[in-house]
Amino acid sequence: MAATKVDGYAGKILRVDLSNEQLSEETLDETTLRKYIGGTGIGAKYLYDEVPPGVEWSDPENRLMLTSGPLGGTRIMGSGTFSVVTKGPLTNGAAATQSNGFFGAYLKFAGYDGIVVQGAARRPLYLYIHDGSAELKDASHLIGKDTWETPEAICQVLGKTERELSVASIGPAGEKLVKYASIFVDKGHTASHNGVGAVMGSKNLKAIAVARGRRRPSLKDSQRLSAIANEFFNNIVNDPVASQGVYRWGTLTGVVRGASPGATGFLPVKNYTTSIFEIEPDKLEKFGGPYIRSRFQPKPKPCWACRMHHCHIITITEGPYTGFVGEEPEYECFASWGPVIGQTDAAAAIVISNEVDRLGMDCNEAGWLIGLVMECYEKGILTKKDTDGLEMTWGNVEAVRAMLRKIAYRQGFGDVLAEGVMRAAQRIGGDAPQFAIHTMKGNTPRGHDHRVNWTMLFDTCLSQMSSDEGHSMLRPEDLGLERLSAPFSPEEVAKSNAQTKGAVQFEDTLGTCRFTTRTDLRLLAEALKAATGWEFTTTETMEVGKRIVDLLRAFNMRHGHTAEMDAPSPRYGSAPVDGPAKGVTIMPDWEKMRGIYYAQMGWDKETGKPLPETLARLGLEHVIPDLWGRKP
Amino acid sequence: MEIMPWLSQALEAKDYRLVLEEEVEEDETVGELLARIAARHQRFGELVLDAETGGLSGHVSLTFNGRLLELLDGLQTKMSDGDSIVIVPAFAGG
Repeated sequence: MAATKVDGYAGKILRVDLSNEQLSEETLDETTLRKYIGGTGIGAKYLYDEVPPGVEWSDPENRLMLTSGPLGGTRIMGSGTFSVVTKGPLTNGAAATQSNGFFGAYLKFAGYDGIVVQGAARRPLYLYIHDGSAELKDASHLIGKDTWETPEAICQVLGKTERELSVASIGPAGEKLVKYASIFVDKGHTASHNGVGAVMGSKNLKAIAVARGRRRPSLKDSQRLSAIANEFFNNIVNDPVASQGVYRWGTLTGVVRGASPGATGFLPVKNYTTSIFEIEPDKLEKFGGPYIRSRFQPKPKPCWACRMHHCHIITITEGPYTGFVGEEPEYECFASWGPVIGQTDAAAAIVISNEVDRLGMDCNEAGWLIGLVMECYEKGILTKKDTDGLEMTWGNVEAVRAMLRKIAYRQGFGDVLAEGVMRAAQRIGGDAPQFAIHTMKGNTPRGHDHRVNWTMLFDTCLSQMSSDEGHSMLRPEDLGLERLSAPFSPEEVAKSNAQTKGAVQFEDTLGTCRFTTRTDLRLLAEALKAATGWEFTTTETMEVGKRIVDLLRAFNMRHGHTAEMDAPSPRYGSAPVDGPAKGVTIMPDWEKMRGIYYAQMGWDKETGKPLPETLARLGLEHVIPDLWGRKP
Repeated sequence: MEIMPWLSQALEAKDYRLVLEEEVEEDETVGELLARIAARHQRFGELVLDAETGGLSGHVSLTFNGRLLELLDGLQTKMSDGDSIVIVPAFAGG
C-alpha cells in the first residue's frame, strides 16, 4: 500500500515470514498511524487483525511484533525502547512488554518502524537488518548460547562492535519453550513478560540483529523536540525525589527502602509468608546504591541518549563471587533473588540475577516459582526426592542456581517449573495452588507485595497486557483528577484505576522509556507534535491508550478470557500475616470493585466485554461484530 | 520520626537515615505535626505535603507505630508520647 511519508516515522514495517524464509515491506497510512501511533499500539493492531481465535501461542500463525514509535531514536532519553506484542503462553492471551537499550533507535536508523514475524522456520535462523534491508541468516552456530554469548557471537561473525549492533535474542530457555522465557537486548535489557521469548523460540528465531545505520527519520520540528528532550531531563534533575532516587541510583534504592524497620510492607518476602525481611543492617546496606557503586567498579552502560546514572556493568570485588562481571541488577531482580526466596547475600543476588538473564528467563516469574518451591519444601509438600536431590530451603543459593539451570533446559523437576507458577502449582498438587502467587489469567505480578498497594494489585489482575498496565508516574491532576486519597478504599481504587487507564499505553506507543518520560502526558503530546506535526490534547492521548486497552481486551476475550479470570490467586489476594497491613485484604470487596471498574471502562457488567458503544467511541467499530455477533 | 533513604539526603542529611525527635501535644494529629515541621523546614514540607490540598504528597509513604497510616485515620491520626513515624519514598519504578 502506498502512503505519504509521515514525519517521525521511518515509513516501513518489515514483515518476516519464517516458514518461507521470505521478507517483505509494507507501509501504514497516516490515518492508521494517528490512530495507533506506534509501539504497543501498532503491535496490538497487528495482533488483533492477524491472530484469530484458535491460533495458539506456539502456532506458526501467531505473530510477534517488535515496534518502535515516532519518538524512537530521537534525543529524548531512552528512546531506544521498543515494544514486543504477541500472544503469550502464560495467559494464552495478549503480551505487551517493553525493553530499553538501543534496539528501537537502531531499527529506525535502519529504515523500519517495526517488525512483524510470522510462521516458523525449519532451521534455526537469525534476522540481520542493515542499511534499509534485511536478510535471514543461519543460526545453528548460536543454538545453546546464552543472551550475552549470542550478541557477542553475532558481532564477531558480522565484524561489528557492540555499539554498532543492537541484538535482541533468546537464551536456552527460549529455545526450550520455557513459558516465561524473555527476549533480551543489548546485555541487560529485556522484554520480559508472558513468555515472548518462548514465542520467538517456537518460531526457531534465535535473534534479531540491527546494525546502526545513518538514516534519520525526518522530524517536523527537530529544534523543538530537542528542547523538549531537555525539559524531560530537567524535570528529573529538578524533582526532589527523582533527582536523589532513580536519576542517581537507578532502582538500587528499592530493597533498602523496603526492608528498613517501619517500612511499608511493599517488599515481597518469602513468597508472601511474611512481610518482614530479616536481614542484618550490614547485609542490607550491600543491596544499596552507595555500597555497590563505591565497591563494585561500576562502568556506566546507558541506553540510547540517556543521561541518567541508571544502568551499569559491575565487577564483584569481595567474597566468594569475586571477579564476577555482570549487569547491576534492577530492583525487581534483587527482590526475586533476595527477599522473595529468603536470601540475604547481595552478591549472590547479583550473580543469580545475571544467570537468569543469561539463561533468558523473566526474573519475576522465576522468583515467584522458587519462592513457591521453597515454601512447599518447608511444609513437606515437596521433598528432596521431588526436587532432583536439591535442598530447596529458604536462601539456599547453590540449590537455586542449579534449579534455574534445570528449568532453562527443562531437565527433571525443572520441566515442571518451566510451565510457570500457576501450572507448576497445579502439577505439584496438595496445598501448592493455595501458596502460588499469580493472577487467574496465569501471569505473576511484578516484584512487590501488592497486598499493601491495592491500586497495583487490582491493576495487575485487570490488566490485558500480562503485567500491570496502569502503574506510572502519571500525575492525576494532569487529567483533571484528584490524587487518590484513600488507597484502601475499594470504590476509590477501582474508579481511579479506570480513570487513569490508558496513560501508560499511550506512552508505550512512542518508543520512549517510562523512567525518563514519566508518563508526562502534556509533554509527551508536545513531543509527538514536534516529531509528527499532529496535535493531541491530553484527552486524545488517553483515548489512544484506552483504544489499545480495549482492543487487547477484545483480543483476550475472543481467545478465551472471562470475567472470572479478572482476579488474584488465593495467596495473591490474601491478608498479610504480619507487618504494617496485617490482616487487611481486598477480597471482600473484589466483586464490587470489578463492577465499578467495568462500568467506568464501558464494559459489560456481567461478561466484562467492551460494550458496542464503547468500541464505537474508541474507533473500534470493526471489533463489535467479533464480540457481539452483530454489525454495528 | 525516622526519614529513610533517600529522602534523608534530599533533606541534606549526611546519613542514609534521618531521625527527628519531636515533642507532641495532647491529641495532636500526624497532619498537624507534619505541618509544624514543614513550617520550619521548607524542603520537608515540599517533599511530604501537597501544597494545594495539605494532604500527603505523592512522594512518600508513612507508617505510624508500624502500621500504614492509611489504615488508621490518615493525617487525622492522633499522637501521644513515644509514637513512631517512618517516612519512606513512595515506590517509583521497578
